[in-house]
Amino acid sequence: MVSLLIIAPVESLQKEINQTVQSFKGKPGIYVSLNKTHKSTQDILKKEGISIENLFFIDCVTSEKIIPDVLNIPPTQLGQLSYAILSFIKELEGKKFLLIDALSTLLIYNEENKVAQFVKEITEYASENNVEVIALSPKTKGEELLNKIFNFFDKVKKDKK
Amino acid sequence: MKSQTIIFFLACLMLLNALPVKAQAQPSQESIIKNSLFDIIIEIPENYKSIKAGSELLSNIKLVNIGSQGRIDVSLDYEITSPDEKSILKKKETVAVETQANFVRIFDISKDSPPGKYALHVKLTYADGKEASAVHSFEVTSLKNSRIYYYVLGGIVVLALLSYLSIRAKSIIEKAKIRLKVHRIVKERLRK
Repeated sequence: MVSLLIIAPVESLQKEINQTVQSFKGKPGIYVSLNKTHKSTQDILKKEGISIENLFFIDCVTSEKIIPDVLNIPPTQLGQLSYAILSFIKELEGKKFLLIDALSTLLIYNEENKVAQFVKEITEYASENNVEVIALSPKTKGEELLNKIFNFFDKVKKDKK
Repeated sequence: MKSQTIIFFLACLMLLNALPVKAQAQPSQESIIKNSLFDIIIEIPENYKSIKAGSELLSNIKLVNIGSQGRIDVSLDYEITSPDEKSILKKKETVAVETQANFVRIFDISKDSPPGKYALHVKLTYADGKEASAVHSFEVTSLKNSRIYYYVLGGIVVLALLSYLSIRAKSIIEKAKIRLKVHRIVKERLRK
């Protein structure tokens, strides 16, 4: 199984997400939403005709627990977030994927080293459990902040546009 | 005749020079005692100037004989008095001193001793009844205070432990909640 870090300009980030979700063709996936609310992500994917039936959302933006089948975890609680991801990986049977939208957001709320530790933990656990990890990050001026976490991914895809 | 007188005189002189010199006389015990003049100094180390009731008082006693140089037996009387000037400890000993003596003496302070300013008195008496004395004060602090200190310290440790355990428990509860919720979400979704 592979772990992939996609760095793309902000305007093409959603396109990358859509393509990634579509490429898994209905396989169960864990969607960690750090940029948009669960509702907004759901609406965008639905609008693009992408099935969200097998997507399990961890919403790190909405603070109120409105929807019962969505897990709300603040982005500052990396321990809880990693535990939630690991719990989903354990609960879901068969092949599955993990999508993190967008990884760099964690660097706003947490120290670089803690984010690096979180990424290491997640990628290692995913690799042991045959889970494909796709982390996205917008191409921004703060891109160098991602330097510490590059090494934990098998592949890094940089969109040059 | 004249030369015979000179020779005789010189011979007498030589004889006188050849006679052994009389050894200097050692002072007698009587004169040592008579000339002796003692001074006594008490020193209490800095970390023993304030002690807890029930602990030991360490003191350094220095005796100096500035009057004579012979060995002399002296008698020492130690006494510790409480803040209300009551005697709480008495000890007596005899030591031999030549010109000076330096020794350490340790005294046990009862744990029942009330806090306050205490005094260590030392009286030196030597053979003909002459006396020299010295006194040095020290502080005795309450054992209760040190107990309170330990209780406070223990309390802080217990509180720190409890708060650590409560943080750990909170984290465990949070994780259990997450696990249950994930289980429920997945179960409900699969049912659909």
